[in-house]
Amino acid sequence: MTPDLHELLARYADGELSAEDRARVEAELAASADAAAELERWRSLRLAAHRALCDVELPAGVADRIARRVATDRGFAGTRTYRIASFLAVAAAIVLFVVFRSGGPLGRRPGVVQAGAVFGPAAYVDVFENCAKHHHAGVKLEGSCPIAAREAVGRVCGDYRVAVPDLRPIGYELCGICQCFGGGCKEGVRGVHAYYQRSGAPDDLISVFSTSACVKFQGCDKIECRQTKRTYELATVRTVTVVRWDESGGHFALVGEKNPKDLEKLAESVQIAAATGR
Amino acid sequence: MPHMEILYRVALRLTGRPADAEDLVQDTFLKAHRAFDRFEMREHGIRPWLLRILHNTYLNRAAKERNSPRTADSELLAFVADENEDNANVLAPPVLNYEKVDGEVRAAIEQLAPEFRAVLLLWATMEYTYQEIAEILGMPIGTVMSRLHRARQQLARSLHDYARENRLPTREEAS
Repeated sequence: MTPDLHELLARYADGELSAEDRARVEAELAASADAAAELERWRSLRLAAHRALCDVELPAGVADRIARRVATDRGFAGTRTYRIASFLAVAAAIVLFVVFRSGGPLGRRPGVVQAGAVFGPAAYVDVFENCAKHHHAGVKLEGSCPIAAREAVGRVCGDYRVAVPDLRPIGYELCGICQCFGGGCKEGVRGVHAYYQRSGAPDDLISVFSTSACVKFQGCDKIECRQTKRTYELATVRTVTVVRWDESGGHFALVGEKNPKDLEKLAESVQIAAATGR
Repeated sequence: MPHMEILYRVALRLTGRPADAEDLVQDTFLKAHRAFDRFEMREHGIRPWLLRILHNTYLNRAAKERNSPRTADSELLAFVADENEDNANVLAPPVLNYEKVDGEVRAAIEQLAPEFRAVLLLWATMEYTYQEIAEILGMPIGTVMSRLHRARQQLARSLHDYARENRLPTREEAS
């Protein structure tokens, strides 16, 4: 057997040959019991390597240590709680209208928040800085920028629909939407990120996030969400502030390069409205 | 965090030390957060991207520890010289009970140079295609094939030695 054929057999076992080479190897396999036996040994060698390398389990505590480090390293600032009565939704209120499909906007039961991944506020800020500031749009809008209160379809993370708020009453126009946590479609957090620009002030940007799982700054707990009560979490990373809260079975965050108090005030004027049957 | 166990497994096999593996995985996640804008969703999700970050982080650390980073050219020249030598005498795996040689295989893998071990890790543990391994490691597919060839040859050679030392029938003796 030639040295070349040894290597071809190894690559055949991996399913990595061209049609021409595959035909050559298959002819050899049909004619030679030695070749067939060698092919089995190449396959056995790969299985042995797999077994030898995959007997490692994550030691206890490692996952927690790393998750904590990643979350805290990115600048958690603090948590504050506010109770907001529904009458605070005044004329200037922004209506964030989440369109529920059956089982909730992202396939969950309204009112019950599922446990999810641990993401620090920096995860929001990274998306804000990388998407909003560069006007990246990864989710196709059913319209062109600037638009407002128009449905967008998250094609990457499933066919759920999220309507974005109309911020024109306070001078912000919608400029784009993208998926907010790219790797999360299968195993982590999924959601959308809508970003806005103040008319005449291109550097004045804010973002609204709607995510599929409860993403608290210090981890995730199973909590009940009520429309009349909000628990805000505030964090500042570099110059960007994140205000995060859960409501009506949804998970939201408002992000902007603003003073935390100003962004809180803005969050207080955001009214969540949920509808079923869409 | 998703993928942590797999990243840890690869990190441990690259570094050989649990504490270093933990540091490597932690750095990988931190860098992934910071570089999120460069991530593009592909068929296999985020894992290949995380593995690429992990591998690059590992190489950077290894270069710093050596304090004299090898250039790609010198690495390639050394590799080509070795490969030319090996091509004259390609070994097939010996006849063995492969379910009982995990320890020998593991030891042989630990002896591989890091650049060959990285390719073999992805090939054996993730079942990625050569093209996917090339994308993760940021190298041409031809380099992946060459390095995998070298790594497999090392395994085959080690197993032949093991068979000889234990007076087990090798392929040549059996036939």
